[in-house]
Amino acid sequence: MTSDTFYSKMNNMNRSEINKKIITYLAQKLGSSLEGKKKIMKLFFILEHIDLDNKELLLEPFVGNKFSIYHYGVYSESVMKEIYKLVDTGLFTDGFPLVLKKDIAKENVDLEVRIKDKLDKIITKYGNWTGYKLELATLKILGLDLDSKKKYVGLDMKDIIQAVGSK
Amino acid sequence: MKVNLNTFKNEVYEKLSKEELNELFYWSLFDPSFSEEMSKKFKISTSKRKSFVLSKLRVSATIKAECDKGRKETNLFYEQFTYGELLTNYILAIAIEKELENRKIKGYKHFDIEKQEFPDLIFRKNKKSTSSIYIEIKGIIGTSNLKDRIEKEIKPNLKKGRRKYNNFLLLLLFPCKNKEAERVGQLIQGYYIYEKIIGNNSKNKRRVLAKCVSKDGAEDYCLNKLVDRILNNDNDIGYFL
Repeated sequence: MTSDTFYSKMNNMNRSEINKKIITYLAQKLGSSLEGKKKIMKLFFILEHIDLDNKELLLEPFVGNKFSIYHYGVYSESVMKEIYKLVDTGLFTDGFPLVLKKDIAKENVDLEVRIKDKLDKIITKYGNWTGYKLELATLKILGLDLDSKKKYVGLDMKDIIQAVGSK
Repeated sequence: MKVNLNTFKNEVYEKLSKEELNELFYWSLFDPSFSEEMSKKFKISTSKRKSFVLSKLRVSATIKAECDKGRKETNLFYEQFTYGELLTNYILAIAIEKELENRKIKGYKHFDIEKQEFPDLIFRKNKKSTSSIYIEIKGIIGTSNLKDRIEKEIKPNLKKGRRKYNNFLLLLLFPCKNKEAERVGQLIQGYYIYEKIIGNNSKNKRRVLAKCVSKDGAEDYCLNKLVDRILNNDNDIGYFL
């Protein structure tokens, strides 16, 4: 499926609903390894911008959330908003670690197969990593370090990937 | 558009009051990704930050002209200049420079500030690196991974040895709500323990200074007090002698 077709389909769906499902799925699968918001954020970035099979960066986000780079590395305002919404609805108790409500922990999450498959791969590969390790690793995947990332602060991830790809 | 330090100094810093500069410095320390390290009830309003910061920066004719080009240009400038550490570094560099003038301590000049490389601020008295003073600023909101961050982000840079970091200050700055400043200030006082990680010994001045910066510029937690602590001989720092 081309990304255009996917985005046109996305218009009929609620991305917020998909984000909620992704976060819930990650929380269910990671259980006590969930840690906190940082880890969800970095795993979400991998979902959006890394092709694990071909070990390539994806210019267009896999689900559609915009990412940028800030002080603590890759970051998406829309993903953070969704985490906050889940805290507001009582699905998570906020803090470190985030704790998923017991009755949600075993509920079946209805996600598109391609998203679920990719999430499973991500959890297998990165599930045991700490949020901080993922913060450094995601920058490294972009070919950046703590100094060089400063040049890209606040830019759209598409522009960053194009810029680092042409270096 | 890149605003250099002189433009910022002449067109913004010199035009703002002490209180406005303190609040600008306070907001400069915040970053959207701080949300990852704090619970929702402490969330910072990014729109409030943007509104305040831009209103103060627009006193500069150069910045105003850029912002007048449109929303896209304004956002790009805002994101890169205010979240990319330049704003924090500029304010602190100028504040130190002006206080050195006040105290008639001559000869120190900051340099390479626009490069945005480690360390954030370098003050040099002459070309001999042994007399240079290096300051790395970490604006942080939480202390999780702080030891790891110093181990992995500061220590390797000090080890590279491109310069002799004999006079090195790691500045840990915690932007705080006014009423929390005193409590947090007491908690972080002990962070000088991280001096061991950055290789402090009797032959050098590698120090760690952890300070709160409050929005209202309360006496102990304002920009002026911070500069005072850096310049004074507190804890035997005494860099600018």
